[in-house]
Amino acid sequence: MSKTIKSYLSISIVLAILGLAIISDSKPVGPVVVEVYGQQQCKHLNAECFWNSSEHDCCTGLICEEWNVTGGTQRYKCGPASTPTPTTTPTSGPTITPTTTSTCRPTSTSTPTTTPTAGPTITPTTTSTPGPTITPTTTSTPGPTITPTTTSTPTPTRTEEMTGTPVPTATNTPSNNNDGSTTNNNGNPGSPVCNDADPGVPGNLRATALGGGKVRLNWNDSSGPHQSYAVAYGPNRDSFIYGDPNVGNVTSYVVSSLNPGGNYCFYVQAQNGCRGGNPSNIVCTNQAGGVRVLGTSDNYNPLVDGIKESYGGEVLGASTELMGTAEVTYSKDKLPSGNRLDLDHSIIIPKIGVNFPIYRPQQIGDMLMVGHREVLLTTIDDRKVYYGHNGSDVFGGLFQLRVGDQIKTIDEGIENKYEVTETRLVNKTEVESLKAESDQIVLVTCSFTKPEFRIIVKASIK
Amino acid sequence: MKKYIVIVTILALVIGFYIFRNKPEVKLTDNKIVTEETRLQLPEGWTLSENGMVDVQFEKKVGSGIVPKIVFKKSTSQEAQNPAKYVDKLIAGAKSTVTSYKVVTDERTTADLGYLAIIKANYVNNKQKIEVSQRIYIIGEEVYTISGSYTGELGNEVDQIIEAVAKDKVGK
Repeated sequence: MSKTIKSYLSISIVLAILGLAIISDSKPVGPVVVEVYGQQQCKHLNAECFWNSSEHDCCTGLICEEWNVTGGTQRYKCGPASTPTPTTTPTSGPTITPTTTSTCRPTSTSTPTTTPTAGPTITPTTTSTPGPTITPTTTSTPGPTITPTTTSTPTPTRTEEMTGTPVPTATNTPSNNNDGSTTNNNGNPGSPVCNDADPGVPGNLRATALGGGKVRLNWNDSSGPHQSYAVAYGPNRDSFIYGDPNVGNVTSYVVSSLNPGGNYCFYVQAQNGCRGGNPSNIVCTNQAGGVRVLGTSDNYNPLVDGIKESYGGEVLGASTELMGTAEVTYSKDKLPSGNRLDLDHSIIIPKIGVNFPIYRPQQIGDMLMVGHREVLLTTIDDRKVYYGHNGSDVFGGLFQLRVGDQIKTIDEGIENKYEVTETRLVNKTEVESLKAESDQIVLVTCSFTKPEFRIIVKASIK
Repeated sequence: MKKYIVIVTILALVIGFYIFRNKPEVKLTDNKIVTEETRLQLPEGWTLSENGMVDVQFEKKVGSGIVPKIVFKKSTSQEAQNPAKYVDKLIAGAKSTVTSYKVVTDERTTADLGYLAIIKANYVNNKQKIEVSQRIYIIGEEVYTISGSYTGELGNEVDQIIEAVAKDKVGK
């Protein structure tokens, strides 16, 4: 073999070895981080979320969006999916290769679209109904019906910034499959058909402000075949942008996380299978001409609320503190006690010029919290006990009442007339004296001249 | 001959380089999302029991009795535009509402960003003395209240968490 051939051969061997080495070891130098997302609970609306490239940990239907900058760090929170995706991408690890995908992570096909304005229900046969989107939970409807895959039921959440949960709309937007066929979001071919009967209309919707950003809704059961109700609400009669698409088959529901003092209008809607009925009447709170929330805006006390909310003991519900609660120092200021107005409830005693709304006391453990210039209501053995400070503009004139005097209460619009049957001055330890007959109410205040004593008035219904 | 020496040298260098170079380290990390407990460096035993933009609660596991809790709340009030008077009113309202409520510490400061009241108090419920540590941050009409209730000697832990929550939620 000539020298030239040997040289070429040697160089070729070197190049071949070099090439093999490069091919067999083409990974980049440095650590390769494979990030593994474990199964964990997804983040709900407004919870702070983790945003990394295209991945986030918000629940289905939500998206991780920019929130604010604290201490120079960009932060994110889970917002409705309709919110534009953050355009800035935080720095993140080099490679994201989720090997286990959290079940609550949104996917492109299951993410419900959101309807920021009053929209029709998903029911294809009733499209003129304003308001809540119904997400039927039953999927047993025969035939090619709408069976929304959206199973996340957004709980009405705190709407301090009016960014409440937009009602997810299970829109049957056709989508192209990889095979070229067209289906709706549920994978069902063809146009949606709903053969379910009209679920009827719930009647006489009422709203009761409970304070602390909560409103209780009551309504009469719908007469039609229905399986559940949807609740919709929003800042006015034309905008029902929040709601709970399925509150169960109930006739009472507490909407929480409302902005105290804010305007809210509500309605409910019966639903079955794939169909929603006509909406109920609309009720509004804190709005002229509607039901007003008086006790929440001017009486909210975050200090008291914090004391109450952070109390981590068992709520016993006893009334042992009742007698002591009237011993408060009189002040001319109307203090924000945090007690809540019992809507449409008042007491009228013409003889002493009393005509007061009634407040429900907050409770910490077994302690009923007294309001300052409020007449409060509690119950002892299911008998109503109205109690208040002995100030001249509260129950200060109670000592003037005599047997036969008239007392009137208006409770949820129902007027009840009573006649005083008994007046007593008792020591505050005589708790038994508060017990009453089934047709009686009890009025209590403390004695102005004898702090250890209580004035008790009992009145029977006429 | 020289050519062979050169070739062998090159070969040795190439082979040596790929043998002794640092191999890429494949490192599997469980990329757990940083929990609030970790991020806020909560003392041992404290957990986040509720987490929202406006409602956040922490509590500590205890064997029995009152569960120490810390609650963050956000509210608004027009009266808060006069923060000193507003806080006075809130305290008076709390005193009239919780009859055994006694204020131990009432510190007020005005910073660039707003008004801060640090209030420590206690009250008696069910014959038990409950300690309450509260902070009220007022920025315009926005009121951020952080309240911690506990019994016994947990004051430092509660204040530590309140401080962390304040920095996190109010930015102070």
